[in-house]
Amino acid sequence: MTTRTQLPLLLLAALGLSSVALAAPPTQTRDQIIARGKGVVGFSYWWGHGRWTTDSSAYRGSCSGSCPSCSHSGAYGADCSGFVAKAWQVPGTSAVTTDSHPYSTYHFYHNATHWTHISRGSTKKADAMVYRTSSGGHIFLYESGDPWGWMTAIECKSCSGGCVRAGRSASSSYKAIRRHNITDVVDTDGDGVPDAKDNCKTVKNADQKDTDKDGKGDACDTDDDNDGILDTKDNCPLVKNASQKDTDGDGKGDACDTDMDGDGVPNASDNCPLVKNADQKDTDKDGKGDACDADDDGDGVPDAADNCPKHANADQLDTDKDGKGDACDTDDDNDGLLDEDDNCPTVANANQTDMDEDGIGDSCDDDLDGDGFANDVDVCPLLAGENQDDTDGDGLGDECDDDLDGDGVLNVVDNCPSVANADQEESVVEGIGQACADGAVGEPPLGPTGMQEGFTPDGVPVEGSCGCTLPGAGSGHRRSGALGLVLLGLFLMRRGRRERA
Amino acid sequence: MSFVVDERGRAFVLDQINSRIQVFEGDRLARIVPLPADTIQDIALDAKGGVWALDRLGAGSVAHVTEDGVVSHEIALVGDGVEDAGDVSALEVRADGVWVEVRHATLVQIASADGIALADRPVAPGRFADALGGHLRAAKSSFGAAITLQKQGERPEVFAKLRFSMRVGHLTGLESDREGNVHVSLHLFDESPEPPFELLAQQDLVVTLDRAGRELSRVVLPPESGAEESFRRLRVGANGGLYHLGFDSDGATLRRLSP
Repeated sequence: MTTRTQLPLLLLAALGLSSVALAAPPTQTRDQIIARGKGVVGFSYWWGHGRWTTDSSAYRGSCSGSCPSCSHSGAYGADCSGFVAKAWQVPGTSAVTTDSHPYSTYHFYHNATHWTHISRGSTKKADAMVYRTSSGGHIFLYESGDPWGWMTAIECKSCSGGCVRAGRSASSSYKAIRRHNITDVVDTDGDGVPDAKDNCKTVKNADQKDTDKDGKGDACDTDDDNDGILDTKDNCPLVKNASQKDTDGDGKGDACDTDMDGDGVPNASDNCPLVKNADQKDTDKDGKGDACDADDDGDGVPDAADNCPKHANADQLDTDKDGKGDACDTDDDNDGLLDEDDNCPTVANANQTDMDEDGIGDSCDDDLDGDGFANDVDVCPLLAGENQDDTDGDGLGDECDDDLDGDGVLNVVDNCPSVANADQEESVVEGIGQACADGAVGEPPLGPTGMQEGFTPDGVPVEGSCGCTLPGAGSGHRRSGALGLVLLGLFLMRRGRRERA
Repeated sequence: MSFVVDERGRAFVLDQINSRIQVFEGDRLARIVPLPADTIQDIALDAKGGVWALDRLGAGSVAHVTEDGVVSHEIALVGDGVEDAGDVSALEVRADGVWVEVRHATLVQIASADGIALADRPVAPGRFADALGGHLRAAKSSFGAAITLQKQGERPEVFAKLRFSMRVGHLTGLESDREGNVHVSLHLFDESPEPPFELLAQQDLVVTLDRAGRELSRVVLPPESGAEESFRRLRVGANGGLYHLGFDSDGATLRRLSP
């Protein structure tokens, strides 16, 4: 049984303690105190001081001589009472890195400010053992006992001994004291979380983070995400990914990789998150990058079968069958001329002839002679002209028919060019066939000009001619009534010559 | 503080603070063996009379020290069986090598007879009691102490149970001699039952038991006092004698308790 000893304020003042120091020290668990105290191990003994750090690289200081006439170097160290006050956090909270020395062994031995004297046989973890005589004293922190009753102690022993943690005995001249506001809550790892609630009892984890909620904190869980892959080998230790898929092979699994394909574009904005495409090209702007889009141009034809994968061409037209669709082929007819220069881009025409010079090559011109009559109806497709007469009905217009009457005798030698007379029987008029001398419907022979004599090129009778008008004649016909008289005249002239010969 | 007595009865007393061993022949200081550090807390002698020193707080090792104070062998403490150098509670050197005790429980062999560090360290279940054919361990209670003996290949058995009228503070020694007698030294005290639990009395006691565990004697000695800790208070010398090292305001006193 222990009771707090109340000391008069005057006495406290005499001892250098103000009433402010009477405020209860912050509650501490035994494990917290021990954990804090262990941090001093290895540091130097520093008379009149109490300061250390958890930085393992910090210089621990050194002490030489015999204290109090000793010398110290370095910024860290503690003497026995400075250490215990810091480990206990009395009179109040004080960072271990803050130098403080609020009490001496005298205070600890004689006073009961923030601690109570207890029975020597009832010491528990984080209690202290203090000794004091007129010539000096010592104090250490009790951690545990062994079968002999020795104590594992944490203490700043002496200038040569430094601050250590080791088993030791203590004579009965030592008193046992216990800090106020100490709880018996077991906190083995000293992280502030009692073992009863600690999901990692022996590993510090104040945040108690437990990613997979399996009751074992991440700090001590060998598989934080519970995906069956040990954290030491897991490429996403905090995200379940049993497959361990790592698209870009950067050691960070896809499940936790913000850039799965390692192309520098974050997944959230990557139009091909699993395929490297730093340029993010998206031809059809469908949100799926070309690098992973099976139909880059969105024309409904998969790229693998598309003859213009980057140009929408649903019809897949490929005029020259070269495997490159017309939509993307610069020479659709494969005639060696670029389409933009080709007067027949879809019809091979290397010679680029253009009879009527209308910019449309003959190979693809519907009206080769440019006379307004489409080739397929133009009786003279290669000869521009309005006259679509076809005397012999052979499909070849009179303007371009070398055998108007279709009798097999070319016009230039046919004595009746407009009347079929294959026998070429002559009439009395020389050069005039009997077939047309009989008034048969036909055209008079063409003169040197290729025109029927007696008529103008427009078919208008020449002044002075007979002006004969042939049946069916119209504006397009060149026969006239005067024709017969002209022919008669010619006949007579020629007969006369023959007789004179 | 610690000590060891050789076959000739010479007492080697460890003077830790002054980094030395004082060798006494009777009352006469015969010589001084300098030590390399002031953190050495236990010493032992090998069969050749060589000195071994335990430095668990400084170097964390056991070292063989020549007469000139030069370290000729050094074996690290931490390893199999010894997790923390601060847990070592005693040094034993036997014919087969160097052993250290851990928390007054098991003994761990850390070096061969030649002083070569062992990678695989044999473990013994307690202090060697060759005359009894086993190993001894002891444990205190509030007003008593229990001693167990574990013979080779057997389970530990109670060797003796001791009761005292005063509280047991802690044990200070557990030894066995050539006859199989067992010697236990303890620090006892009485305190007031109420705060501030003032110390009413204290004493040091050596209890001797025969090989059957029957109590032969109790010797009361001046109690240990002071702030310093003592490491080795009781020892059976190589000459067979039982010795006790005490501390008081006058300093240290080495007493022979048996012929």
